[in-house]
Amino acid sequence: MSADALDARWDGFLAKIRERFDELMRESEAGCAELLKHTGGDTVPLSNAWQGMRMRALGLQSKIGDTWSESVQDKFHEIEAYDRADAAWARAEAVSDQIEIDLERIETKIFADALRSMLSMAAQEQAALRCSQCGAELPVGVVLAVTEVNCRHCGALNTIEPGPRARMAVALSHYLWQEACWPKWLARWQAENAAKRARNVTLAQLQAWEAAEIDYWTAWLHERAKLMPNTARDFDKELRGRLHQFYGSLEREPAWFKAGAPRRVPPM
Amino acid sequence: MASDAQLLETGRRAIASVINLALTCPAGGDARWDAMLGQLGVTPLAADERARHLREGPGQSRGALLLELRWALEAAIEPLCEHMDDGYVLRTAADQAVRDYVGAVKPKITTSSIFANAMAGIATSPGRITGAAEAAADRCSCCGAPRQDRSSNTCRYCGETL
Repeated sequence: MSADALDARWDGFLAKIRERFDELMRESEAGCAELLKHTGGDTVPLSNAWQGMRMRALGLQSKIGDTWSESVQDKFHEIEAYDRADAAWARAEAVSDQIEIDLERIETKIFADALRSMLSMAAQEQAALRCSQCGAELPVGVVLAVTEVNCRHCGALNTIEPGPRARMAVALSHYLWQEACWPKWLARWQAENAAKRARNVTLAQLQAWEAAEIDYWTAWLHERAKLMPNTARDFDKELRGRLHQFYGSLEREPAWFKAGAPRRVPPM
Repeated sequence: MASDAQLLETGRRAIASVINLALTCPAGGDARWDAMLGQLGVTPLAADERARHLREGPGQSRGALLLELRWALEAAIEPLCEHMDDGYVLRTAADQAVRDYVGAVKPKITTSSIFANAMAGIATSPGRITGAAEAAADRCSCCGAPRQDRSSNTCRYCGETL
C-alpha cells in the first residue's frame, strides 16, 4: 500500500473515532440533562451515568493508540515512509488531545448544570423559609453555609440551615468555577502538555506552565469568592495550597532545579 | 495412529461444535446443553449454583455458563491432547475460544442501558436528598423570649443565662 493510501485510511479511521465520540457526547449531554430532571438534586445517578459514558469515550480514545501500534505504524515502516508515519501519528495525537479536552469540558458543563439546578432548588427552599417565632418572611438570599438573620417583623434571631441541596452544591462547586475559567484551564492544559512532551524541557517552558497555573488558580479562587465571599480572606494561603503539588512536580525538573527553583509564589 | 495435525483439526472441530451450541443457548444453558455435558462426561453445576453464577458472575445475556463451557472444552480436547506430541496448541485454542465466547455473551453496554440503569437507581441512590433548608429562632430556655443578637449571654427579659 502506498503512503498516500495509508494516510487516507488512517485519516478515515481518525474521522470515524471523532464522529463516534461526538455522538457519545451528544447522547451524554442529553441523557444527563434528562436524568437531572428526575433526581431532585441527587448527583449520584448522574455521576454513575457519566462515568459509564466517559469510560466508553476513553475506550474510543485508546483505540487510536492501540490501532496505531498494532498495525498502522508497521505498515508505514514497511514502505520506509518514516516522516509520513511521524506526521500521521501527530494527527492522531491531535485527535486524542481534543477528545481529552472535550471530555473535561463536557464533564464540567454537565456538573455545572447540575450545580445550577441544585442552587435553583436551594433558592426556592430558602425563599419559603419563615421566622420560627412569628411566621414572617425572612430576608434570605441563597446561603450556602449556616447563617443568622434577624426577622424584619419581630427581630428574632433566626439560624438558617441551608439544607442538603445547598450543601451538595458547595461540594460540587469546583465545576462552576472551572467552567467560568475555561479559557484559562485550556491555556494551563496546553502549557502543561508542551512542557511534559518536550524532549528536553526548558526553563522558559516551565515558567510558561507556572504562569498558566497561577493564572488559572487565581481566576478560580476569584470565581469561588463570588458565591462564597468568606473564602476571599484566605486568598493567598489558598493560592499557595493549590500550587503546592504543582511546585512539587517542578522540583524533579533539572532545568528548574539548575535555575535555583525561581518560583513566583512563595511556599506554604 | 492419527498425526498431530489431524488431532489438532479434530480438536478444533470439537471446540467449534461446543462453542456453537453454547452460543445458541439462553443464559445459563438448556436441555441441549445438558445433553452435550452428559455426552462429554461433565457434571453440570447444581441448579442453585447455576442461578448464582448468572446472578453474581461477570454477566451474560445468553449462552451456557462460562465455567461449564470451560469444563466441556477440556473434556472435548484432553483425550486428543494426550495423544499429541504437543497438546499446547490445542489447549491454547480452547483458552482463546473461551475468551472470544466471553466477548460474545457479555451484555453490550449501550447509551440507553447506561441511562436506564442510572434512572432505575434514583429511588435507592445513597445520595438521595431528603430534608430541606430550615430556619429556627433562638429562644430563652426559661421564658421562651426570642434572642435578637449575640451581644449578651443573658436573656434581656428574664435574665436567664443563654
